[in-house]
Order: sequence, then structure tokens, then C-alpha cells
Amino acid sequence: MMHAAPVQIAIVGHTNTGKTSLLRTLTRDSHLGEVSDRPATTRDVQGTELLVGTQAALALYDTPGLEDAMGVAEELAAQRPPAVDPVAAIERFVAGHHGQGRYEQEAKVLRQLLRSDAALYVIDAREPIRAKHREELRLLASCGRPLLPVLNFIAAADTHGDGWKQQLARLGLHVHADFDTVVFDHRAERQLFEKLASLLEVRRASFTQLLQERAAQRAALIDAACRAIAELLADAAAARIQGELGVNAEALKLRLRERLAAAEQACVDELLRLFRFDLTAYSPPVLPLSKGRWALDPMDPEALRSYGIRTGSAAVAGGMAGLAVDAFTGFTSLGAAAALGAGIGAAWNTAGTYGRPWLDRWRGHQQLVVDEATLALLSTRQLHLLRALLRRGHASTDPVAAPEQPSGWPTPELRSATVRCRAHPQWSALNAGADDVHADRALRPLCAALKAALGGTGA
Amino acid sequence: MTSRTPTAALATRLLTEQLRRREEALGHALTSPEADAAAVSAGGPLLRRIQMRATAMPGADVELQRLQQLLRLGRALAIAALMLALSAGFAVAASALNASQPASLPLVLASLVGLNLLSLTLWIVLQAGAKPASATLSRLYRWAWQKLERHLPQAANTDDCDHGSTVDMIVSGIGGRWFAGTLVHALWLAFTAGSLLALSLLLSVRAYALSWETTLLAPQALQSWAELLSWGPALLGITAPALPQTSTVTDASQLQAWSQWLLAAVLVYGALPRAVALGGCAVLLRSRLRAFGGDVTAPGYARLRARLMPDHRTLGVIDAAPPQPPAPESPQTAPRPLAGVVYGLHLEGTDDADAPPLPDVQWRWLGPVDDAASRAAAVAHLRRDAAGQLAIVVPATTTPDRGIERYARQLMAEITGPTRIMLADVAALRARGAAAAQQRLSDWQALAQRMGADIELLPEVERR
Repeated sequence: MMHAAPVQIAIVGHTNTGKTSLLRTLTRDSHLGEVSDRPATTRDVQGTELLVGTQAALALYDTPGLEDAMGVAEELAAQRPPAVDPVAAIERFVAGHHGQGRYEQEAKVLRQLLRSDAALYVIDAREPIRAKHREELRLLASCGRPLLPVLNFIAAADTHGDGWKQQLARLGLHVHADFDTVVFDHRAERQLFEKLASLLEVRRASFTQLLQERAAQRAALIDAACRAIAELLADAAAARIQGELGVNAEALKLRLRERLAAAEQACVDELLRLFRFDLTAYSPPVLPLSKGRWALDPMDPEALRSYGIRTGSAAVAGGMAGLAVDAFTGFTSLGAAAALGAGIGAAWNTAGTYGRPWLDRWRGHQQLVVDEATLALLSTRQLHLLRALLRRGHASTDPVAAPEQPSGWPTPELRSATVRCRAHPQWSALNAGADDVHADRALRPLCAALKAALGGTGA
Repeated sequence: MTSRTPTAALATRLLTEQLRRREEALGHALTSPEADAAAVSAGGPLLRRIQMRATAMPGADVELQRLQQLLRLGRALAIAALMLALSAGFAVAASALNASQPASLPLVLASLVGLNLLSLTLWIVLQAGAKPASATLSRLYRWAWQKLERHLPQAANTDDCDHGSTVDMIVSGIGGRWFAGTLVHALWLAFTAGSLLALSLLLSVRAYALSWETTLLAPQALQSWAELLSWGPALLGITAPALPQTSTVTDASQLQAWSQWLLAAVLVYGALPRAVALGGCAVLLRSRLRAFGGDVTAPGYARLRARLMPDHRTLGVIDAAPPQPPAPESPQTAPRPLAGVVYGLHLEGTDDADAPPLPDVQWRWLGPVDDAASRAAAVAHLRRDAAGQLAIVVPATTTPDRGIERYARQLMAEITGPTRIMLADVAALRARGAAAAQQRLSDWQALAQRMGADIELLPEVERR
């Protein structure tokens, strides 16, 4: 059963360690507060509630940075008469003039901590632990609230993470969380909440509900992202462009190329929107994109090469060649499917589809389709982007993984689910007069294959 | 949204689906803060909120009314067609019975069941691949709507609305072929029901002579035909009487048995297959109908999630910042070269922090200063020596905060000469990116300027 009031958590720490960034990452809202690599960017206390349904489970309070804990310690030591216990001393300090206003920021932090159930102490792990940090921790501990140190920037190259952990243990803080606000990892987030729950055992129900809600949201997000990519793949694979036989095939190719590039851009936009990705945010996570676009369009041979996809021919096969490639890939894939017992339906599709282009040729049409290498690139690229979005930039530090298949497909299942669409021009929104656009039976196998290809990243 | 009749619920879903298609074509969701707020306050799962938003969009009420009218028209058309089929069945049965005297049993059966079974077979064959008949169906529906629209009371002039796409969405969007199948089977079932009604009515109130006649077939063949056709009625427990010796049945009990046989045959061959097909189509239609417009992973719906199901809510400023005092301006002076006796310390330094090797400088090195005790010791040392010049070495990666400023001022109060801040380890700062490094250096410069101190970057060779 959830308590009526949300769990109150103060986010505290030395100035410029990424408290507001932590809040932004936990709320997935890149517009909260103000963030910069400077001291005292946040000077007031701002609250944000994390919701489960319509009810708040957690209230997070972003506080100004602690800048002069040593000065506050001196003030506390100078209190006359001395306070009976540390909490009383803090309460008296907060209620007073806090050193003629010199320690206004520190007083705000302590006041908020006294109102809260627990605090997250954000640490910039790139900096070694100093006396000022120890003083801060002593000061915060005097408030009598559980404190969970959060090591930020832990994914950076040169961190003092181990030194921090040692020193924290010496100060009696044995539970800490690694949570990089730039390199988001949903497992780290779960651990953060679980550790908080273990510090606040009576409020565990709220954390459990929040974690369940987050897991459901993430699953829904992955579903929606896979669906968007599946629509792109179905559109691309089933796309056909027809033209009179006399028309220059290059012009037709260009048309197909433009449509495909626009469809891919729409998919990228959709993914960025789903992940509430803000290109204008302060220090946006690194993605394999530049300014929200792929640098090379999907039919660029250079783009294929960059993903290790080998292709001997031009990306688009035109006219007769298009038909040949179409029939070739169709027959190899469908042949394999037939051998596995998917039999009659596939054979019927082959007959139904490849009869018509012949008829068109006989009538004097030429027809272009997107070739398989380009489809492979589309799927690999979008999966790459999705993985990067799911890990918020972590992928950027990984080298581009060489595709396991020489054809460039992420998985054989995704290949067969995509190639299957080629026999159904009515499934592509890029085709004029397509009447079964984004049909369930086209998208379902694609979504399943995409999710399987995503593997552990999505779990 | 007050009435939740099935029609109203379906109209809401159609309205939502219509909006989704429009927004997907546009590439972005329409903006209506009022509708979003209504959806958020309604609560519940995402789909419910999406529907709530659609009904709260400007102009949605008119559109909803139009959709309901369209659905009501569809229902009325379906009922009219069913009545028509019922009376057609009645008429065909009556005319088949009255066509000749005596009425030929196989002919009556064939005229009531034959076409029905033929079209059912055709329908089954067509399921294998051909396009569903829903296109024809929606054309008919659209035509009827256009004819009837001007006679309907309209809440607003909806000339600009695209009836075609709405009707297409209703017909093909909601289950396409299963919708068409359900309708066709229901019509044939009504037809058969009408004929059964006519048969039982006419056979009850009139005396008919019935016959099993042939011109071409041998009596044995006729016999086997009769046995074959009797298989169906036998399922209902009605056994066929023996074929009459003469072609016409005259015996009263035989007549009764044969008329029961006819009714049972029409029921088994006409009504039963259609009822089974209708059931199948209705189940499939129902599942399609249930899924219709309910896939929240569709891009048009998924992009609304963040707006309609916020996962956080800002509480605003709890404890406001005090007005910031204006930074005191002090003129920046060109750094004088450091020479002679200089007191130095490494603020926030580690134990191995040595004095930076500078020519012309005779260091009085106080070593690393970090905790309160070493800080106090350094201040006391400067006071005791009445020091002249002071150099504060500090890692450039350190954030220039108020704590550092306060302590530096404390040190400066104890000396007589100028103070210099020396930023060490600039390489580590630069490794964080050029923009971040520049920002940090300018913050240090601002701090030095506020305090009236000089500032310089130590060359890298200093760190061993």
C-alpha cells in the first residue's frame, strides 16, 4: 500500500557535481532547472514529483550546491551555548541568520534535507575526495537522514571512484550507487532506487511501484520504437517505383532515393521524439547522428561500406536488373522458407508478385525496388540508433560493431521478416494506391525480429 | 461522452483513429493544451487518455455526431437489407411451392438452397486470396450516405469532411473482409429464415401435392438421390419416407413426412452452413473490432504518451534564491612578474605537491593545504612571518566556489604584498573538452578579479 505523501528525497552535493543533471535524467526531462559546468548554477530549491499513474511516488528536490561546508562547520562550532545534539545545532543554524547570509545556499540545502526522508549525495567522481567533501558529508550526516552517495561521471576515463568508495566507507557510508547522468543506464537507475528503498525500508512499496511503472514505460517505449522501425522497413522493402520504359532510369532512381531518405528521416525523427531527445539540450548525449540526421543517405555506397555491407552493384537496381535482383533475393529467401516448410503461401506469393512486373514490362513499364543491401543498412542503422538512445550515448564510445552477417543484416530473422514484405507492394506507404499500409501481419513479424535483435539492451 | 452505448463507444474509437491518421500524415501531434489537460485529468491507461483527448479536441463534438449518424445509417441499412432478404426468402419459397402443382420437392429445395450454397462455396474459395469485397461494400455505403445526407438533420455543415475515407475506415478499418462476411452471411441467413417461415406457414395452412418426378433419370438413380439428400434431415432425426410408387405423394401421412423432410433439408443445407460461417466471421470481426484503434505502439499514439501520461510533475520553486549581490568591480591589473621571496601553498593539494619550479622565485613553501587544521596552520604561518607575496596553487579542475574564495581572502588578509592564483593540472581540465575548459578558466579569472589577485596557468612540466 502506498503512503498518501510521496517519499521526499533531497538531491544534495558539492557545487557543480551534476545534481540538476541527475534530476533531469531521473525525470527524462531535459528542460528541468538550469545546467552548466559552473558553480552555483542552481540557487533555489526546486521540486519534481515522479508519478505512478496520477499519484506521486517520489518527490525529488534539487538543491543549490554546497560550497563552503567548512565555513558552516565553523559557524556551528561557534554556537553559544553549544547545542545538545548535531540535529539541534543544524536546526538552530537553519533558523538563524546563517552567517549574515553568507551561508544562504548551505542553509537551503540543510533546511530541505531536514524536511526530506533521505538524500542523494551527488559526487563528481572525476575529482578526488577532499577535506571539503568530508566536511560536507559530516554536515549532512548531522541532519540525521539516510544519505546515499551517487557517483556521477563514473564512466569517464580517469575517475577517483575507488578512492571515493574507500573514503565513504571510512565515513560510515557503505552503500553507494554508480549513476552516470550522461551515460544513462537503466540498470543503474534501478539499482539507485533499490538502494534508496533499502535505506528507507518503510517506504519500499512506493519504490517497488515506481520501478514497476518505469519498467512498463520502458517496455512500451521499446515497443513503440520497434514499431516505428518496422514501419520504415516495411515501407522500404515493399516500395516500388514505376515509370515508362523510355524514361531515364536515373530519374526514377533519384525519386526512389529521395522517398527512401525522407522515410528514414521520418523514422529518425520519430525515435528522437519518442525518447524525448533534445538536440538543443546542454551537452546532448552523443548519438551516431549529426544534428539529428544520418550523414549519408541510405543508398549511398559509402554508408553501406561504413557498416561493412559489401555490395557489388549499385544500390538501386533498375529496370530489368531490378526485376532480376528482386527475383533473385525473393527466390533465395522464399526458397529457404519453403524448404523450412513455410511452403504454399510463399510459393503463391512468388507467383502472384512476380507475374505482375512481367505483365508491366509487357505493357511497357519499368519497375524499381530497393535492393537488399540498402534494406540491410536501414535496419542496422536504425537498430544502432535505437541502442544508442536506450543507453543514451553509451554506444558512441563503442566502435561500430562489425555485422555478424556478411550481408549486413543484424539477424537472419530480421532479414526474412523484411524481405517477406517485398512481395507485398500494398504494404508500403511509399507506393501510391497501396491499400493495406502498415498491416498488422506485415509489422508483427518485423517488430518481433527487431526486439529479438535488440537483445539484452532492451531488457 | 455521457452515453456509453456501443455506437457511441465505436464512434469515439473511430474519431480517435481518424485523428491518429491525420496526425501521422502530418508527422506531428496537433497542439491543444485543453484536450491534453482533459486527458491527463481523466487518468487511466494510455488508450483511455488518447480517446479522451480526441473527444476534447476542438470540433470533435460535431465530428462525433457525424460519425454516430454514419454508424446509425449503417445499422439502418443493414437492418433494411436483412428485412429485404427475409421477405425475398419468403417470396422465393412461396413462388417455388406455387410454381407447379404438384410441387416438385427437389426443385423447391434447389431454389431455396442451391444459390445459397453456391455463393457460400464461392465465398470460401475467394477467401484464399482475392481482395475482400469490402471495397464494393464501402462504395455502396458511401453512395447511400451521399443520398441520405441532405435529408438528415445536421448539427453543422460538414461538406468539407471526407466521407469517403471515413466510410473506408469504418468498413475496411474495422475488420475488412470479416465485416463483409458477417453481413453477407447474415443476409443469406435471413433469406433462409424467410423461406423457412414461408414453407412452414404455407404447408400448415394449405394442402399441397408433392412430387418426386423425373423424366431422364432411372428410378434407381432417383432413389439414390433421395437417399443422399436425406442425409441432412436424418441429422435432425427426420427419416425420409420411402419414395412414392407413383410420382405424386397423395397419402396424408406421407405428405406430412415429406413436408417435414423439406423443412429439415432447408434448415440443414441452407441455414446451418450460413450460421456456422456467420458465427466464425462474427468472432473474427469481434476480435478485430476489439483491437481496432487499440494499438498504442502506433507512432501516432506512442508519441502522445509523454504528453498524456506524464511520468513526473514539477512542483516549482520551493525555496527561492535570494537576490544576488552585484559583483564588486575591481580593476584588472597586468600580472607583475613573480620574483624574490614568495610564500606558496597548494590548496586542495595532495601530499606530494611540491612548489612549482620558477626562476627568480625563492619559495617559502607551506605545502599542501586541505583540511581545517592545515588551513588554520597556513593562516597562522603567514601571520607569524608577516609575509609579503603569496602564491596559491590550485588544480584547474576544481570548481572555483565560495569556500575557496573565502579561504583565499582569509589568506590575503594576512599578507602585505600581491597574491597570485596559479592553476595547476590544466591538461586534465582540457581533456574534458575545449568549451568546458574555457568556461572553467574564465570562472577562475572572474574569481581572481573579484579578489584583486593575479592569475596564471602553470606550465605542464611542473607536475611530475
